[in-house]
Amino acid sequence: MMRIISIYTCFILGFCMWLTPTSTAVGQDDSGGGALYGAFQSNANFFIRDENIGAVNIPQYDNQKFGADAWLNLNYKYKAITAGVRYDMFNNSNLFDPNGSYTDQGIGMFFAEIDLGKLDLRAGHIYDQVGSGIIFRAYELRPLLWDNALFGVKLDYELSENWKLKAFTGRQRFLFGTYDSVIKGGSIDGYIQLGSEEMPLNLSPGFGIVSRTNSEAVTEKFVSILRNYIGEDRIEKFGYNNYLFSLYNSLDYGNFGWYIEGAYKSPDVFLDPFAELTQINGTVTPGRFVREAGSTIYTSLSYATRKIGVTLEAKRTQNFNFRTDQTLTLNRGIINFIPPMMRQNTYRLTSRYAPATQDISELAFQGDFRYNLAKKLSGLTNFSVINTIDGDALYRELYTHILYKYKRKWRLTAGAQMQFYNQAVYEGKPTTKTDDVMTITPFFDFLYNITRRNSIRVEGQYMSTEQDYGSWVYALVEVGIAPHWQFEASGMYNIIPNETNENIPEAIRGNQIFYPTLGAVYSEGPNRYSLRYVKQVEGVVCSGGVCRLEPAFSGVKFEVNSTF
Amino acid sequence: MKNTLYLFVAMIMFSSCEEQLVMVPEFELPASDRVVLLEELTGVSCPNCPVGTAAIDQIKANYGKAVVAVGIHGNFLSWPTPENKYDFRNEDAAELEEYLRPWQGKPAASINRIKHTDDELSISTPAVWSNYIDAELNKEHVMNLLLTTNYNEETRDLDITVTMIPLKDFSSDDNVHISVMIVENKIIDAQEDNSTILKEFEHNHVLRTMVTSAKGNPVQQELVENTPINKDFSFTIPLPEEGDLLWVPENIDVIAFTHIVEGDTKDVLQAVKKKIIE
Repeated sequence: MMRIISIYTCFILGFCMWLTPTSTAVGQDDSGGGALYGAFQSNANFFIRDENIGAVNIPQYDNQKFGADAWLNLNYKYKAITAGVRYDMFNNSNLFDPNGSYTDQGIGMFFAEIDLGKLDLRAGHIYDQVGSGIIFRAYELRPLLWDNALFGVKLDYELSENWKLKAFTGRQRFLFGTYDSVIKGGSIDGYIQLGSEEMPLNLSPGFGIVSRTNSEAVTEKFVSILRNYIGEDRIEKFGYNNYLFSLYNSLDYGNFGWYIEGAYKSPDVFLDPFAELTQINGTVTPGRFVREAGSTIYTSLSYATRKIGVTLEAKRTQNFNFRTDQTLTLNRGIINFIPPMMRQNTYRLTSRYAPATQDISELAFQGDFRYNLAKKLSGLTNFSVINTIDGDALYRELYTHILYKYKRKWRLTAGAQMQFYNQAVYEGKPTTKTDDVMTITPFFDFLYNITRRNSIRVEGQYMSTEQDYGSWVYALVEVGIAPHWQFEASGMYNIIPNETNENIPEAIRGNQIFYPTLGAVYSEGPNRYSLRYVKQVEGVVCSGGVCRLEPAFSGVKFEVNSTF
Repeated sequence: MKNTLYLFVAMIMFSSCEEQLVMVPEFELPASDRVVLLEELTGVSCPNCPVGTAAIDQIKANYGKAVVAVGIHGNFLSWPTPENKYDFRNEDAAELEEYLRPWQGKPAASINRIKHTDDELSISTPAVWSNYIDAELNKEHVMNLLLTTNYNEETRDLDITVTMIPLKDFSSDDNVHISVMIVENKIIDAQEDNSTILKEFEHNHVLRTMVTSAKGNPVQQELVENTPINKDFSFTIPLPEEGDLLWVPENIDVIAFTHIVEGDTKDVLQAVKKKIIE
C-alpha cells in the first residue's frame, strides 16, 4: 500500500512540476518561477574479509563482497507550494544491521507543503520537534539508518507575530513502511520581549503535548506478554493512550542565556532492563515490563563575552522511554530525543568511547569553558559527569585543549582527555568480564599552510588504557591541494594490547594490530567524491547522542555527495 | 488572544479525555492444534542468554506441548568459555544462525520463522516471545504431523518416519520443505551469565545435528488434503568421547517440522517433537 501511495505521490509531484511552465531545471529562478533543488549521497562498500581484526561471519565478508546505500532528494518549490521526494536504495547494506545484510529500495520520503499566509500545511513525511525534542523529535541520521519521520499531516498557525501554534498527527516511519501506532501532538511557542531597548530581556516560552495511541496489534502484544506475569510483577491494566507534556523557556539577557525544559510522561508500560522478573519456576531474570510515569528536566545556563564563554548543563531523566511500540528495543521506534550530556568529540581516539543517552535512569552534568588568553591563543575545557539516579557512575570526561594561531601560516591545537566509561552498561557487555574503561589521551593537531592553496595537517593521539583493547596510538597526515584535492593517510595501532579481555575474540585477543586508512577526496563545486581503503576496529558509533556498537570494518569505501 | 486561549483549552481537553483501560487477563492457552517452533539463537559465551532460557522455561510451563523449542548454538557468542567442557557449535547451527537473520543480538528467537513488524526474523527480546507464539497459535492450522521413531540400543541406529497430513492442498510451487533435528537435553556445562559464570548450567534442547540439510529438504510433490505422506530418515547416534556425557539416548529428542522455502518466506507450518526413548 505504501508503495502505491509513494508512486502516486511521485506522479503528483511530477505533475506539479510539469504544470508550472516557468520552472527552472536546477536552482531558483528570480523571475518568480519554480525552483528544483536537492541532494544526492551514495556510499559503496567493498568488503574484504580479514580474520585478524574480526571482519568475518557477516554475509558481506563471507559471500556478498559489495554493498551500497544511496539517497536522492528532490525538492520543488513554486510560489507557496513546496514538494519533495527522496529515493532510498540499500543493496546488501550493513547500515540497518551492522551484522547483517539489508536490501530494498523505493520512495523513502515524500511531502507536500503549502503556505497559506498564517497557516502552513504539510502532508507526507514530517521532520520536526517540540521544544528541545524531549517529548518529540522526528529526524534523520544516515550513519545509523535512523529516520523516524512522522508520516501524516502537520499544521503551523501564526496566532500573532510572536505566537505560533503547531499540531500534527501520523504514524512513525520505519524503513519503507510505518509502525501501526498513531502519534499526535501540538505545541504553542511564543516570544516575549521585556526590559529596556538597550538591555532587552527576551523570553521564548513554549508548551507541548504529544500522545501515542497504541494500535490494536500493540495492545494485543502487551496483553499477551503481561498475562504471563505472576505475583507482584503483574500489571492488571494499562491504557491505549500515553501522554507527554513539556514546558520550556529560553531566556536571553545581555551576556546570559538560560534554557529550561521540564517534561512529564503519563504512566506507560515499557521494558525496564534493570527490573527483575520472577518466572513461573521461581527463576529471577533481569528485564521486565513495568507501568510507571516518567520525567525529564533539562537546563542549560550560558554566559559569553569576547574573552570567555561558559555553558553549564544539567539533566535528570527517569523512566522516559517513549517509543511508537514499547516492545521495541535498541534504536527502534524512538519518538523523542533526550539531549546528550557529553562533548561531541571529533578526533579518532577521543571519540572512541561515547555514552549513549540513558532513558531509564540518568543524572548528568556538563560544563564547557572557552577562553581567549591572548589574540592568538585560546583554550577550551569541558567536563561531563553522568550517573544513574541511584548514583552508579556511568561516564566521566575531562577534556581540555589550547589553540594557537600564527598569522595565517599555521595553527596548533594540543590538549588531553581523561575518561571513565562504563562499558558494560553502554555496550551491553557482561559485567563479569567487562571492566570500566579509564583512558588518558593526549593529542595534537597541526595545520600548516604551505602556500595559499596547499596545506598539510598532522594529527597525533595516544590513548593510554589498560581496559578494553588496551592502549592505542593514532596518526594522520592530510594534504590539501585546493580547490579540488585532499589526500589522507592514517593509522591506528594497538600499541599495548589487552591480553586478558575475554570480550575480544580469542583469535585476535592480545594482538598488536595496525588499522590503516588511505584516502583521496576530490571536490568540484557542490560535488564531493571520496575513495578510502579502511581497516577499522570494532567500536561505538554515535550520531547526535544516538549510539550503537559497530563491528570491525575491512575494505574500500567510495562516497559521493552532491547538492544542487 | 481569545483564540489562543480556546486552542490551548482544546489541547488540554484533547489530552485529558478519560479512556477505558485494558484489563490484563490471567494466562489461558489458546485453543489450537498448531504446534509452534521456537528456535532460540543462543550461546554459552552469551551473558544474556540465561534470560532466554528462563523465558523458554516459562513458555514451556504455560504452553506445554503447543511449543517445541530448540537451542541453536551457532557462531556469535557460542564459542566455549574456559570453564566449558563441551563445544555445542556445529555446521547446521551456524548455517541456521545466518538463515534466521535479521536479529539484533542474543538471545534471539525465531517463532515459526515469521518476519515480524520490525522486519526481524528473530526477536532479541525474550519478554515478547510469548506474544508471537499466541499469534501463531491463533492462525489457521494447515497440517498435522506425526512422528514415529525406532531406536536400536545396540547399533544406536535411529529410524525416523514423519507423516504429513495436510489439511489443505499444497502444490509443488508452494515449496514445502521438511526439516528433522536431533536435540539433546540435560547437558551440564558452563554458561556465561551477566553476574557470574554458571558452571553447572543445564542446557536443554541443544541442536546437535540435523538429519536433513540445515534449510530442510524439499518435499517435491503435491500435498493433497487429508492424504498422508510419509518421509523416512535414518541416523546413527554417535558414540561419545570417553568421559563425555553427550549423545545420551535417554536425553535425545527428534524434532520435525514442515515449512515453506520461497524467497523471503520461511514460514513453519507445523512442528512435532518426540523422545527417542520414551
